[in-house]
Amino acid sequence: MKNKLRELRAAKEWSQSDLADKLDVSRQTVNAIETEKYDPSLPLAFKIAKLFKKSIEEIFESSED
Amino acid sequence: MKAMNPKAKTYFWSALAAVLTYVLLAIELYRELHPLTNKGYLTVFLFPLGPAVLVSTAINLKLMKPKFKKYNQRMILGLVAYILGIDLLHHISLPAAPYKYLLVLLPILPLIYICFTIIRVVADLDEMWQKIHLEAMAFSGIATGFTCISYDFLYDVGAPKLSLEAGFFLMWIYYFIGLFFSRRRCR
Repeated sequence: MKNKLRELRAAKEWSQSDLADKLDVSRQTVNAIETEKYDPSLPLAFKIAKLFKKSIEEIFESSED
Repeated sequence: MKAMNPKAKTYFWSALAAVLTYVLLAIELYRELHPLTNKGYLTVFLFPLGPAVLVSTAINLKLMKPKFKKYNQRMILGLVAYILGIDLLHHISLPAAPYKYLLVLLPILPLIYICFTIIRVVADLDEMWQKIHLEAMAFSGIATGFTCISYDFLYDVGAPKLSLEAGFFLMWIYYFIGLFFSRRRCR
């Protein structure tokens, strides 16, 4: 699944560790999501969307689209 | 050493302490169990791993996040209780009464405590790490099962008898192999 997490994080000037602390996950998890090696669960996707004040569709995009 | 940051320095000393603990214990066990049987080799190579990990973890404690520090302290406590229990059993003469079976199982109590601690650690991990560990556990369970069945066939045609402990250690070896590959997919 494609996502814009890296761009959104860079816009806020947060490090991966900063974002990981805000989402209560590990830095490796943030990295895995950004590099599209891991797709977050629905609750985590909602948490990310809420943090960046965007909808899930604005951040995540299915690879099939 | 001067160029190292404090974190790297701690990792370096903990690794060095772990290696030293492993080597010294292995030499001590080798001396004690010489000449070695099949089970003796297994003990000399695998038993020092526990105390080595324990020493390394104790040195790394200050680098850990508070919640994982708490769990590691519990693990150390459990392992120390287990090692002391085993050591005590080796130094006392067991009675002939039937309750000797209960007595020899006493060191298992700290292991039960460790099991519950591990379950809490996994429950406290984030979702990606839970998935990684779940995959590693699934691989370990399946691979250990298949290896045991394969060994059973080999034993029927004359392969040497192995200790049941080998199955336990094999499970952990497969677990770390599973962890390596599962972790690599998410890196």
